[in-house]
Amino acid sequence: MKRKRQNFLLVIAGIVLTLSLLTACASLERGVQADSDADTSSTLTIQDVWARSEDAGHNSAAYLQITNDADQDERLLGAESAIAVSTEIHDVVSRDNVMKMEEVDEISIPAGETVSLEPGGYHVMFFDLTEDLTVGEEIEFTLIFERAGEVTVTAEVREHTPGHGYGQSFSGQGGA
Amino acid sequence: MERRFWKVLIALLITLVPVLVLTGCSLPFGDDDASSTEPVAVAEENAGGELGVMLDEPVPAPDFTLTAHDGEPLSLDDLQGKVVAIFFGYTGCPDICPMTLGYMAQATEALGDDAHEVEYLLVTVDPEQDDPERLAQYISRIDAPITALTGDRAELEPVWDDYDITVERRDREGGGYLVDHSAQVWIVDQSGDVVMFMPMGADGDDLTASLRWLLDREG
Repeated sequence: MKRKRQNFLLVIAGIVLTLSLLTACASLERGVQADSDADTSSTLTIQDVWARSEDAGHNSAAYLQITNDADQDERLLGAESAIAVSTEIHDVVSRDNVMKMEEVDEISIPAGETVSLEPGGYHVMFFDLTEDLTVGEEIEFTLIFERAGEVTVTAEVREHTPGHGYGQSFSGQGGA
Repeated sequence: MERRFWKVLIALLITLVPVLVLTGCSLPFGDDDASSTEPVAVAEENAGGELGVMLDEPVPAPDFTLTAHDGEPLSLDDLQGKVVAIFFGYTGCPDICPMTLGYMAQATEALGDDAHEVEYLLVTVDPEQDDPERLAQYISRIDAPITALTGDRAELEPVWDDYDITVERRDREGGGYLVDHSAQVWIVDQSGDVVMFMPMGADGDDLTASLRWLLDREG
């Protein structure tokens, strides 16, 4: 009888272990915390920041270009905002011809290079907007870099279809 | 007897844990059910407009009747005589879906007077959330004559299958979900045959060129 209870406890322990491993994996995927100390030697130019207009309760995305003018590599580790329930860095990946939006741990921005977040590739994902994003207005959100720390940027809210040049460089964005 | 049962269970757990870890923590279930009743044999070479991929043989487009964003029923067969571009997406999709619908707006503008010869359909892959009202709001931002379609999951699943669209709803850690889905745009010609599709990577210029080619071909 006692033996039986021990075995039962072992099973419970096994289940707990399995669950905790799964959770550990999940949190590993979420990436590293940013260093709160901003590294002033890092020089980033962030431009062409825009977000897609959408109503509260829907999801939206923001796009931008990051140029790393420093002589050291930089990494974008995450994003935060007050306009959505959660704000994440996503990539669009195609697997077996199925499109998936997946959170990425980091986007590296090598020294002297420019990385674009643009439709069909990397984007800042606003999950469950808490307010309407109206065309013409400006919103703020914060990017979290490994070296530069937190950088708050202003995005112009634009229509779904901003016209020419839209989503042109579809390839070349690789995986995470 | 009971002890053996527990031993087996423990052994199972011990083997399952490393398997889960090795497979990147995703459970080995729910893979593509390989039920591809696809209406297609993809041609290797590209016979028609730019990046549109021609099928080896035109395939009669499987008909469906769904509920449009205005609440009225719409059948694909109702649109015979027009070129129809069919895309599968959902309103919770903030990147690839509006981008693809944006290509339709781009094509609409580029086709000018011939734009009315083309119909665009957005079929939802998220019936639980996408009711007609939500779909109407979503497409109202896109400057193209798009009809968004929804229905019960039981109504939509055969349509996804017929058009070889994989739909996988994926729960998020922080709540909510995303829907992974195939993103090709099927092109149905004026006689109701699927003749080509726009693959991933094709942009608005490619779509325009393919539609233009089809319209000119039929004269």
